[in-house]
Amino acid sequence: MLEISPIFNAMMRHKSHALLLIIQIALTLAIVANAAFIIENRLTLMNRDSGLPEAQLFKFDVFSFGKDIDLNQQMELDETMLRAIPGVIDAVTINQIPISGSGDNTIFMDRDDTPNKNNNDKNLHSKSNTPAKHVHTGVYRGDTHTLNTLGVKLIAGRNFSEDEIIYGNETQPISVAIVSKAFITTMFPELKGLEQQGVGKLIYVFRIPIKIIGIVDKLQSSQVTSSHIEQTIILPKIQTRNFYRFLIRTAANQQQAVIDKVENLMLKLYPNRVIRTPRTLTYLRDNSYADDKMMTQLLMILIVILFLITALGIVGMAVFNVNRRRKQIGTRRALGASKGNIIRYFMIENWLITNLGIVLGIALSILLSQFLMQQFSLPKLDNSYIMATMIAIWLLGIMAVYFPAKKAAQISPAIATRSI
Amino acid sequence: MLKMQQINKIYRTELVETHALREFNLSVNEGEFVTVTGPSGSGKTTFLNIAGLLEEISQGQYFLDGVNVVGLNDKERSRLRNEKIGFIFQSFNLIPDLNLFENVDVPLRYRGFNAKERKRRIEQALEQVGLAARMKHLPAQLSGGQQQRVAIARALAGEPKFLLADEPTGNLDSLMARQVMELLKNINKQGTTIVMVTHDAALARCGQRNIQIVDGQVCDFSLYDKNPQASAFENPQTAASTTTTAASIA
Repeated sequence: MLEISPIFNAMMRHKSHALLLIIQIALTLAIVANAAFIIENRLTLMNRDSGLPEAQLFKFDVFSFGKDIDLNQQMELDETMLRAIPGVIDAVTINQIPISGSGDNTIFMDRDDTPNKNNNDKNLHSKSNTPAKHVHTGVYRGDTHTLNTLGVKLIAGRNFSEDEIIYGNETQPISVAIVSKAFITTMFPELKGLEQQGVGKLIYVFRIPIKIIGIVDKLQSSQVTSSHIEQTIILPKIQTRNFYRFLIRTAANQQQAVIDKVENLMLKLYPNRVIRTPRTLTYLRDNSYADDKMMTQLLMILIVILFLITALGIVGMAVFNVNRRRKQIGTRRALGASKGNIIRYFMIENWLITNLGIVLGIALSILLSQFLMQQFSLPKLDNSYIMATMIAIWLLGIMAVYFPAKKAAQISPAIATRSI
Repeated sequence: MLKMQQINKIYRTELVETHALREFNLSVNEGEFVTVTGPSGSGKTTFLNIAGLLEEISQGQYFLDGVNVVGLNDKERSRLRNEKIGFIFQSFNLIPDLNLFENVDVPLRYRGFNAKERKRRIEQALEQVGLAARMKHLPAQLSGGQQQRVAIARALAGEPKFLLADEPTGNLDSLMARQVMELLKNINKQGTTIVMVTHDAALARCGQRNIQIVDGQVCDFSLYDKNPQASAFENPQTAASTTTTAASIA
């Protein structure tokens, strides 16, 4: 038999006793639901597929200080040597490393809309009433080995040919590019599901038209925090600088062996340079997502602490109530309450407090979520997180109050006849 | 109604073994008003706790309204307490957070009556003690005598066969004590068995029979008056002396 109404009425006559606990439960619900949501978002972010065989990839940087070489030629020699190392699948000089955290990006457009003296706005508007589409894009520069080294899958079109590669001292503009599928769907939304038809399309950067000759299934850029991470382009260009870097793909079980050799082999080929410590893509990924990882860990600790404090609050409240009501418990027992009735009394009382806290907590969760959306551009809190936290708090409440309630049931009914 | 045979109650601590009751025998018939007296530490409270099923006995037999209570589990004992016994405590033991209606409701809820039946019984019981108009008041808003009357209403609402009163006037002044005693006598007249524990000899004369407990045994088995018409409260002069004594002790 439930006795909700008298318990509720009695509680309402001592609002202040329950109020702090209600607020505590409400805050716990609001913070835990939002924290769990943030954790889940970060984990989703961290677990995104880069489209790369990460375990097979590593990179290293080269800084040449010798003035006695032709850098273009030296880069070619380096590549040839690296590709010949046993265990190496392919190697390429590349401007940026995927998911490493820093690299180049620029804006591509679907048509040339840069106003100038000869080609003014009138001309532009004759083409279209809407402004040109601007797409933030991560830019890779490399040669014909780039695709194979990255290990990405070409789903349409073709790779670069050797004569399309532009080396640093050559002046002709870039005319072809390979892009990611996500780039196509962003640049040409009408091609969603038909991305292969993006081959042959023209895109523009600094008024230069570039023809898409190939599309890869998936290739993330270096900037893991960017919302444009999936939109990438590979341009057929090798820049000649005394600072350059290599990306090397090996068989997964050969990676360490190749890394161990690389510095010596590079210096043997030409000694007047510094080889910076090779880094695997796994290392770079951990590094890039270190903040997210720390955030999820901190939030997890926060959740555990909040649950602990709330459980302690419930236990403390229950113990306080049991001790305050020893005589009342004895009287209830004398009037016919079984031990089960006494346990139930405290469980129901706590359940009512928990529910009040939960109702307040739901409102607070939504407010907190709105605040986080405004201040930190977080997505809207999913209701399932509120539900899950609610259930967790219910279970926590039941567990926390059970032992004090059981202790209350052990109070002898004979206490009722003691006059204190 | 109540039959105790060769009851022993022993409290054991690590060092001491206390015989609170030894070879205790007592029978109370249905409809009787029995008072139990005895000096402090004589075993009055232990007797009360055992009679009210608040404590278990160490040895012996106890029949309450024909039911052998030895060996009953907690649930069965609780149920028996709820159905057969109405308790009246010295310090009233009303629940301070509940209003009068809810206080009288407490044992009825444990009995499992439906809401309508409970309401009927609560109103009737409060009517009987003259507090029906104050149902929504909290105990703290009442005088001591009124509180004890609520406690009596709570005991009566379940229509028990047996009222167990523990110094029911101990915390009341003489006028209120007198009102409470009159109420108890009326209840007894309507057929409810009453056992009242008190250490006030004058008050003890209110019953039909007085039992003295000394050192955990029934010591003196004296019959004051078998005829309730001539008992203390019916005689104004005796009643005055009784209430004075009660007041001086309280």
